[in-house]
Amino acid sequence: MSALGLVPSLFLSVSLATSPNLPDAAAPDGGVSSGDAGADASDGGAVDAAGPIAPPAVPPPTEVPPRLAPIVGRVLEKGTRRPVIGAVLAIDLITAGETDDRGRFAAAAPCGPRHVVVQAPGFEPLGFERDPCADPSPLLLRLVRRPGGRVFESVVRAQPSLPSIKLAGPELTKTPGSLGDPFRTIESLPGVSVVAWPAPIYAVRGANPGNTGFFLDDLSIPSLFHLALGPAVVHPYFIDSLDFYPGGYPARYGRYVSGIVTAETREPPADMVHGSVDIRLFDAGALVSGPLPGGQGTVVAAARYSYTGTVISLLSNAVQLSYWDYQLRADRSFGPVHLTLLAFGSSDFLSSTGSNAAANELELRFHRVGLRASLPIGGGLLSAGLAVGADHTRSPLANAYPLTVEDTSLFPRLSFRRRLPHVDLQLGLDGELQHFDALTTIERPMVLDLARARDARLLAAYASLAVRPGQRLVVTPELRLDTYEVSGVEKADLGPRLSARLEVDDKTWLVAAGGRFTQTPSLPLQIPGAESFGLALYGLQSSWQGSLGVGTKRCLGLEANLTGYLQRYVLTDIRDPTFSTSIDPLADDFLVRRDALSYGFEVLVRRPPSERLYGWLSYTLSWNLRAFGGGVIGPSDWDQRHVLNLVLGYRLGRYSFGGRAHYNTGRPVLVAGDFQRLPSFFQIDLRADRRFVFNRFSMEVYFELVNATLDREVVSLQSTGIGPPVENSYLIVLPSIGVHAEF
Amino acid sequence: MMAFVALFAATGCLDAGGPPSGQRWISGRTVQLLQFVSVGAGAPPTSLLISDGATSEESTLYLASDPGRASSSSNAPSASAGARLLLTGFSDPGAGLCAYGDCRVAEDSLGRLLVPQNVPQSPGVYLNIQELYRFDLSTAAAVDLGQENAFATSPSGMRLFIYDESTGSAQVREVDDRTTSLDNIQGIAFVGEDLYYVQLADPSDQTTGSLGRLTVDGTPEVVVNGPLYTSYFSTLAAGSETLLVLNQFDPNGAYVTSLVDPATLVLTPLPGDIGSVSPDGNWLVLGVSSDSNGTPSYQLEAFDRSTGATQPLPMTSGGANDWRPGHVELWMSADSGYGYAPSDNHQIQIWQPGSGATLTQVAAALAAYPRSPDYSNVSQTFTRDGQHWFSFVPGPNGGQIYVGRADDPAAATFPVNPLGTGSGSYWELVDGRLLVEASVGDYNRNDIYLVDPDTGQSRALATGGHVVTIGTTRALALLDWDAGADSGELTLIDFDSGAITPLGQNVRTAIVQRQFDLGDPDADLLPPGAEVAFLVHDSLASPYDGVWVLALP
Repeated sequence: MSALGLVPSLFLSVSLATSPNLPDAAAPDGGVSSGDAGADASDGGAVDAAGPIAPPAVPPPTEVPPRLAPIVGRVLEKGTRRPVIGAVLAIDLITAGETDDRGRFAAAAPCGPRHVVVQAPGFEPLGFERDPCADPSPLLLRLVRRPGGRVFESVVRAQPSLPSIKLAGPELTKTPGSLGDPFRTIESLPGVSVVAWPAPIYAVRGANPGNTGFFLDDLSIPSLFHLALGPAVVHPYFIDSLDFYPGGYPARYGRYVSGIVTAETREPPADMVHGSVDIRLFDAGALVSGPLPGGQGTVVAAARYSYTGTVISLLSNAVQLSYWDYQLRADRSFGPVHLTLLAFGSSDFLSSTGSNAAANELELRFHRVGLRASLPIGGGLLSAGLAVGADHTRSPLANAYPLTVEDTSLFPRLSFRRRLPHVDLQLGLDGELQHFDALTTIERPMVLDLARARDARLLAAYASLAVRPGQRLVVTPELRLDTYEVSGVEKADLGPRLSARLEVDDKTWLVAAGGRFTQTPSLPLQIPGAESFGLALYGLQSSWQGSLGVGTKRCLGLEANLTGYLQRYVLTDIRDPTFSTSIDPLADDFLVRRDALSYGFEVLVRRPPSERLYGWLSYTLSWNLRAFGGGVIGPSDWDQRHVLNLVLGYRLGRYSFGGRAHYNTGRPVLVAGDFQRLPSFFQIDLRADRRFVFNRFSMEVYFELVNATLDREVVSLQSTGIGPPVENSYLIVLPSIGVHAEF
Repeated sequence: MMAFVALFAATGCLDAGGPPSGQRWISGRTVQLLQFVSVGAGAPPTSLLISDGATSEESTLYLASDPGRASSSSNAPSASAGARLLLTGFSDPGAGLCAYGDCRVAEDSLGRLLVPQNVPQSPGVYLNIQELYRFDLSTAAAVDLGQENAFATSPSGMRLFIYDESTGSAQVREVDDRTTSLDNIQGIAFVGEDLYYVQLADPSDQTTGSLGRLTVDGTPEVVVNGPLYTSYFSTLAAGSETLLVLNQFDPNGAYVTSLVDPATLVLTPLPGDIGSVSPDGNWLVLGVSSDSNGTPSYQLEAFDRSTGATQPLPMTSGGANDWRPGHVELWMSADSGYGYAPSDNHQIQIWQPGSGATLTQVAAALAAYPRSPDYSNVSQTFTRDGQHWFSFVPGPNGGQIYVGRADDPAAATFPVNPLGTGSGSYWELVDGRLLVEASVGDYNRNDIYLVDPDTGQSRALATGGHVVTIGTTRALALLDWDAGADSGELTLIDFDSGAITPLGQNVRTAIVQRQFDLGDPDADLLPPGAEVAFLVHDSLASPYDGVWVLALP
């Protein structure tokens, strides 16, 4: 071996991506190894014959060399078939090259047995013996991702001066308590109060749940979660990352007076067809992605169907429940123009089978289809998009108002972005043009226009300028002009916004953000078709927001943030949050316009998911006040003074374990006409995953137990007239067991 | 960063909102508003009775008067700070009687309050035994009238009947405090100022009663000898007369409803149970049970008081039937059952003495539709003048009431409440228009409409509340009623202009000075200057909680 070690590196060569002789990305896996079925379950790397791969171009020797033979092949991640880019190939300890962007490599080595080692960051090294002359056939190598290692690095934020919390990777799908749902993860973030766990209804910084917007690739999601504790309407693996802005969100978004959550869809991989299948106790879903024919683009599609109704029907025939959702994204370029098609939709159906069942049916359905074109122009990027939407809601509204609302919408969007040495410029327009039809047998003349046919035209223009006067400071002044026309009533509002980030030193920074935000009157829950109403009666909701935070990475690899905030709102509250006798949601006093003030501090201490032990500690201390009139300023319905979450994940080999501890103090409720506070609530959620890696696919089996401590949550207090009020509580434990397989 | 500070300084603090209109008399969160009272006979009712306490058995009764402007900003912690204590252990009549709109503390003809005090049998344990006190508010004198289980005043308030179950004795106290004792009393009724009572000869034998009478300045006398059964003893308004109704045993030992005319003292056994009386008082609708071949049946018959004869009526049971005011016409549903099933075929029978019944095809089923605030003992199928009748079509949230002209029952009728709502009662304005409350399930939260019964024209006035009382030109209402907080916004609604005048937020109850002045149905209870007392009770402790009084604009 020592003699071999003297082989000059000159004799080794590598051909990278430009090699014309390597097969196309989709091809090499076709003739894959014979050991797929039997040897798959081993956790080690694999060396397979890869089928016919043309030898790489090898430079001619300049002197009489030893006889050389090619060592060519491809390196894939075991279990996913994804190419491993930048894997280093060493032959007899001498570096022979790296894999290209399709995982291909090509080298040459003298005849005779050679020790070949392939290494890549994050993967177990793979070593084997190879005599290139005895067997010159192409290799297909599968590297095993190193368990417990750093799996990825955090993504750099696009606008660092804006205060957001970005979630990606395992934080999206493996956070305990979230049931694998990326959107549910925000309930463990600072600034968020869960109105009535486990219902995914979130009050952010003291505003009402309906004041927080959820966007998928800039398209607002009309209803985020399925009914009856169902998951979000977007497949978890369709989402690449999620940004949570508890306040002070960028000007390209609008029409919400609290925070927003923006989710970016995952750009489909272009190398080959991939897919995943999820099977859980209560639903099943699948996601397939791959290149378009001809290699001119990519497409990803996902869908999910719940058989909860079937399961429930086995236990009781009194309730029918079903839901489904779908998502599709396709990307294709035509010259300099890049087109992205995004479609998603959802349907829920809930019904009781008792008398008058038809009147009690609840049906929620929506569809969104949007096409976005991006064109580099003028040194920047011009984007234009148009989406269409169709919503359908049929609701008994507490048996009082059988109501069907259908609406059709257009969502135009135009933006231009240009990055200059010290300035990022962004200009844009966006709008929502909606027509609502309401079908009801109710003829009350004094109800909200929510139950009437109406048109809404919401348009906005915005400008954003991120200025970087030095290396350490980014200041982003923004301006957004919103105009609203609902049922013929017009309102306009000019909302200035300002954010700034100052790097005090390499590990410490200050962030400030604030501005004005407006929104049409809203219900406490987002329901398809139940939007853009009541402008004449209530006027616009509005907020002035401000926050100031400090962050540091000085200790233990942790990122710690402390943020103080102050939000001044004008909101549409529910007048009677207890729904104590009957719900009259179409009455013009179902909502009431109130001044509100929220302030507090938020702490987030975070260890990134790239670490073996990762997670975060979030704590929110908040005061959420409402001016009730009549001389009273008191706590809002969602006022929880303390909210604490500790989320931890730990990877151990093929296993990963996670837990979440949650604690919140009680919110105020009405008891016989007087406010009292609910008792505190504490819960622990647990999750365990076991990953199985096969050559061409991987599989994860997971078990999650939400509220493993079996704590009862008190949801209301009931006065008996004698002694203290009776606590109405429920015990909900959500077990989830499922399988996620992907290839 | 300074910009942010400046920004929020500019937004200012939250505005808590101003006080209600008027002047606060009493502050506190445990007070209850009872009624306006006069201090001194003949004086206007300008003082208020207030109760304060955790339970109806242990309330404290106060008298509150106008404290003057100086105390309008008072933040006294309880009722006692601004009121005169009358009685502890007060038996709050609001606990059981307010549902019927009458929460009054009783008064005699001199305006003296008759207030029962709960007598605990042991600490915290109360039975139906009270000590009755009489308060003279002008002199602050209190008189203990003794223990009672029940008491009643004559219509004028000059006579007071007090019953003590523990001894089986009763006393009748005149306004000058002369008393007459009666024993073994089983039931009483005032007809005018005369007290009628059923008295048992043997307390252990419930079937041996006799009917007695005690007139003003008279002595007890037996006017009808038994045997009488006394589980039912009441009065019946028959035209301009007041009759007594009681039970009697027939020779077979069966109970028979009987009628006593106080003018003649004639006892008339009736062949059935009394249903209703014609407006002229001569005809009674009786329900007559029979058993034909083992099949029980129930037949309505018209009883002629002048002759004692009966005539069968073309109606068996169920459904509405009512006498048309101002006419001797009995309207009866001719539909099967209650006639409320969806149908295009509804009929009514209109029966008149002498001419019999006329069958008429109508659009909807004859319905009872109570008129506020007098829910009982009045016609519920017709307006007060008998010019319009009501029918009903079932629908979501209760169904629709229709109104039509009674002179032409087959003519078109008009809905008084919109489709998808229900209406439990209405108010009738002096000019005949109807003030209709229509709700979708919560009867405290109504849409309020003004309906012309002749044309069916309907105008929405307000929403989300209920009417407290009406005057001739406007209504006092509690709107935006919050069922959770059990309060609403006190508001004046002008009938003609539809103008809404908010008076106070978070109001639980409100009373007007002449809230119970029902003697004159055309009286304007809400003239400018009339005082309204209202109880502010916010869900959160408010600096404005308490009893407020305002003069109506």
